[in-house]
Amino acid sequence: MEHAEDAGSSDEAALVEAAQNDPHAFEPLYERYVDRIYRYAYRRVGNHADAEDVTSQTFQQALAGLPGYEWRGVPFGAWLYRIAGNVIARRGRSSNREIAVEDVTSLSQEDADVEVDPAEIVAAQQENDVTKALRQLPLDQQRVIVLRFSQGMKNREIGEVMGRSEGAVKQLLHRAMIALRATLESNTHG
Amino acid sequence: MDDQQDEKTDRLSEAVDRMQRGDDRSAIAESLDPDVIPLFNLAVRLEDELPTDLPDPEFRDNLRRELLRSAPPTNLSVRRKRFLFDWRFGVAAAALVVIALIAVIYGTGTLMGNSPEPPARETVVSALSVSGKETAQPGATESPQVVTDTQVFPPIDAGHVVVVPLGTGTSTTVVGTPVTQPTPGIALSTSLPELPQTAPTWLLTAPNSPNEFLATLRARIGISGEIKTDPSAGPDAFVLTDSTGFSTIHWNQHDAFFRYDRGPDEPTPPASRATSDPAATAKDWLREIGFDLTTITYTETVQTSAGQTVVHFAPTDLPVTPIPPGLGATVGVGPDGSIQFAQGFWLTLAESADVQLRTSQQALDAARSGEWYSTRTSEDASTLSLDVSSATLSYLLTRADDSSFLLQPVVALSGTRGTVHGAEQDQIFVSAIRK
Repeated sequence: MEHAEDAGSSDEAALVEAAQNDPHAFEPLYERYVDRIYRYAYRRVGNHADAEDVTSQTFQQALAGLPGYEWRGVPFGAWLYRIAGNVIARRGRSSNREIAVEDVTSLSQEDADVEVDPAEIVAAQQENDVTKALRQLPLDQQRVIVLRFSQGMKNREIGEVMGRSEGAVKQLLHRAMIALRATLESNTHG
Repeated sequence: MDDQQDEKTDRLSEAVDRMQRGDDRSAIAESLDPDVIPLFNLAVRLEDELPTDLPDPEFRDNLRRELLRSAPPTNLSVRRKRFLFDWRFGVAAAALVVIALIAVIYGTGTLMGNSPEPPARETVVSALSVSGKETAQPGATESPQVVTDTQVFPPIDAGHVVVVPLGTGTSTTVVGTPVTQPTPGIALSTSLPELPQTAPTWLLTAPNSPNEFLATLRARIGISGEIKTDPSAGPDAFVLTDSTGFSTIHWNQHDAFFRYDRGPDEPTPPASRATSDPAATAKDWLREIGFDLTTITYTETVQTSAGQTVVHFAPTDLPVTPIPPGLGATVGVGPDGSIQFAQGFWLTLAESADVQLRTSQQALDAARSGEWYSTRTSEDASTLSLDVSSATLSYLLTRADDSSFLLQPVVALSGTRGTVHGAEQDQIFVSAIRK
């Protein structure tokens, strides 16, 4: 399934090496893969709370196992998907049990114990213009749009999550949509 | 926002509600003011095109912060090893030079041609004395000697300052409104204190063989289990997992920090262990497992809440470091006298000596030239904007090598730091040792 990853990730080996030398340089890899891993997890577990849990465990285990990771020319994401797959599988077998680090480092080898469906990876990778533009907005504007349109919350529910009044959420959503529209136009013409 | 804008906001919100209830989109659009229609069209697009499995951006952001915060420090073992050699060799070499000069002055022969003893640890020990304590070390004097060759002390930087993952440094609080770009530089809005001419440093050592240490600890606690490396906790971390799979002891050689958690299958302690004095119980237990309560003395404080008693052991003759957790240990004691958990720095005092200090102005100048340390991992000396409101003599624990640490004086500069997100309370440290 490795071929399903980005073909144009020629800088990925350098990013991995940088992160192995200094774990604080892990951020670019995180940014590259966090949405994909989350979406993959969501599709497997079916709810946002568990998807967040799986995503957290996946990246924590990946960061911990990074020193033992060997770059073999396949995208780093392939390793992450396998860790996520194992996290999900083990949650099914034994809830809340974390993967041992030695198990994670072994996932850099070919014999990972969980197969990841390539179709699920492809689905998780899809990112459209709207999603790209959304990432360019300030965090609170991103958040109100995601909660409203991706997670389907009502303004009142968003207000509870974000600690704002329903009226404040309405205004924030309005401003966010104006900003998103401008960003989409800018991306299209610029 | 004016009334007209409020009305548009409400209209858009109502339209989105209706769309998500499944009302006819064309009908909704026809009911809207022309100004609102483009945003409604965007709402339709978001409803149709935005994946339903996106993470909450705040979760995404928080996880990123958490990962970067918990990332282990860069492995600088080669550099650390070089330091120990340099430092001890430097002090020993200085001592040899002094001896050689004395020999020349008194005409006792060409010492350099007499195959002097290599600069071993004993040479260093004899050159130092244990500050404030009587000592049987050969060469010790009543007054601590002053180490003058300080060029090779551990630098105050991210590779040497001990920041145990359990404590993440100075806290910051946003107190202002966002600004565009603060002006770099270190300003002073307080008078600088007068520092003493000298201050003590302490060389502390940790067990230098992790496997041997953990095997002994395992036996003394009376548990069984396997000792393994634990890369998730750092480059030199180990874990002892008991027969049930429970991780009962964590040891970080890099930070000399241990953590013990009582496993679910550990037997209940004998009734004789139950005591009304949890401090005595905790102290006995520490002594039983070999924790050094002799070369470093501790004062116990007991806190009890919600049925749990926690005993803190704080060093009485070592300074408190501003970066938590402090030196010492913490032990949780159950009502039956069982030790529920324990954690702390596992260190023994090896040597102590005084060093000459900079003046506070020299320390400030050094900070202004970029010679400072912050617990913030992404700090850039060229962009720091700090208004210093407090300057104090403080101490940081720094790594000397894989099993030695030096508690050394620093000047802590505290104040308000300008960032693109607003003003924050912050603190930086600069070595107080005269170079």
